Amino acid sequence: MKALGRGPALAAGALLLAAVLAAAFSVGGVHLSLFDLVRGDGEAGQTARMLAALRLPRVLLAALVGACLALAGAALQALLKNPLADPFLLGTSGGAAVGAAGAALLGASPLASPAFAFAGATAASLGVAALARRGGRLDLERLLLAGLIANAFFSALLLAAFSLASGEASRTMLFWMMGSLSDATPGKVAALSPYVLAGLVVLLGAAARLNLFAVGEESAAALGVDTERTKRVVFLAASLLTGAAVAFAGVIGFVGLLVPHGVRAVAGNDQRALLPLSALAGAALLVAADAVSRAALAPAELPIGAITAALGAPLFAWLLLRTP
Amino acid sequence: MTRNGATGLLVAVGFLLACGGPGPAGSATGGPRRIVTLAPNLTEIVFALGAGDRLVGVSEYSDHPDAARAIPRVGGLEVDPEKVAALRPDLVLAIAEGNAQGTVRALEAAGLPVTVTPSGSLDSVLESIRIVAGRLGRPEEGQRLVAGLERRRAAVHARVAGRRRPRALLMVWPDPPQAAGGHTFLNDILTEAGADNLVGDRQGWPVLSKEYVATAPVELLVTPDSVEARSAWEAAFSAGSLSRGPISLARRVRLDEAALTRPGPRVFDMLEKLAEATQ
Repeated sequence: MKALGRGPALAAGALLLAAVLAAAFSVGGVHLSLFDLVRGDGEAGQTARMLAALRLPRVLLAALVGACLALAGAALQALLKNPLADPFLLGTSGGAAVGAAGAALLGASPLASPAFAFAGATAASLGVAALARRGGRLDLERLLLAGLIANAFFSALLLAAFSLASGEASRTMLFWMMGSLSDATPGKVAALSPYVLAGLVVLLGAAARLNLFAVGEESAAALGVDTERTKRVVFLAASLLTGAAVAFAGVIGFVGLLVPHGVRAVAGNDQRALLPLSALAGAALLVAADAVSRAALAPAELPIGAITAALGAPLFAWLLLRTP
Repeated sequence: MTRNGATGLLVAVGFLLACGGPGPAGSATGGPRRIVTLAPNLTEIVFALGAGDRLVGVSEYSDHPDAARAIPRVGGLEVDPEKVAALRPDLVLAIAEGNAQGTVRALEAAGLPVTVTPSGSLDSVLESIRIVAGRLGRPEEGQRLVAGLERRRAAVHARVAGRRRPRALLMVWPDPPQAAGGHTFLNDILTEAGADNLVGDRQGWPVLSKEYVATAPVELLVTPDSVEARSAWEAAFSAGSLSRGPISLARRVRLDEAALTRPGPRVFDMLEKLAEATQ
């Protein structure tokens, strides 16, 4: 930690998220009067409650998806000691989207699509890991390259599926490719929560070992860390988080890349602080981006992926130029 | 195959292409004889002008009038340029909005005479009829058809003048909710039939947020009706984006999807039906 201790930093992060959640809840294409919501009766109160019932699950889903993507990105960056690591670059999101899109194309129930997204994410992770394995160990450079290839392949598959699908199905394909939070329901929020919690717990459990990775794999092994097992656990946790996010919101880019960078710049590289702070900041970022997406073009919506890309790409280019 | 063999084959194919078969001519009898349309509204216009028997290829969804169903297909939104070329058309009709620019350019580069018709307003529907009639060598038929449609349109204007205009949405898809905005022929139909389009200040086909749809003060909701989309609409009405707020209580007018959404002569039938409904 630089300026703050871990406790105060986490408290500050939680406060920031709470503020962003409250602001996002009151922002939108349609004005939501908090007074009407709490006190209103008759038509005004009814309208306010209906709006709240639409907006609250959406804001919460944005928070959970943002936390998933940022956590997965932070974990992969720590694991690979590479600031370019990201669920998108490693093909995990693409695999999840192909799984979910394929299921939709084959006419599977929408309820089953999360399962297919997890399967796709896990299969992509395992495939990429298998390509990157050399002499029983994961070679980190090969891992990034394999992810790149996998991603190109998945993009091509999605485009093929999009041109094969017709009518309603092609709209579903667009959802997977562009990402969207507009289908948020309380059920989805409830279904996604356990994955975020499980991923957070597993990754926090591995945080101390990931700190040793930063020194070097050999040193970590010499200090008694089972490096291969740690890699597997972190890799699978990241896949699970990514699959969950994609299953409920489609592919939304740059969050996993952007957030850990921002957090590291403020709070340093201690994984015990970086991981939970990334979850909080990722949630805040996506909630804010979603509020912009709802308000900017009202009554239409701006695709959320366009906002995260507009924020992420220039900042990332700047980070890259600053790096010696 | 040797290189010489391949060259010989190419030469032979070139020879056949140059000389073989009845060429794309036949303009002596007045106008093109082998017409391909790349959109269903153009098929309808050609039939309305009495030249349906000259069509040798039509787009996938050309199902009106019934005689159009028997004509060979050249693809849907994505047209196969080779299929079109193989039909040796002496006129290809395309629409500006909807047909890929690349396809049109490829057909032009192959030497096929392509005419692109305008879209985006009710006026451009009439303009398209005039253009097609001119290319078919039937300008008088075109003028007659347009004059008849203009008369019916003026009658609708007279009928709705001075009436209270209901606040309306013309939705083209329920989920995600998508409506006809300004600078579309459907916006013209809605407003000329005596309604105010709530999203008329948005250009094109805006996808609306669920919050907006739930709160918009809609009095009249116009939706296209088709067998394929019926379940999607019913789902939106029973539990989806159309199940709450003023829109769920609005008067709903269902108009045949094909007649409503294809900018051909039939949209004037829809204009009259809608004018009845805004009363």
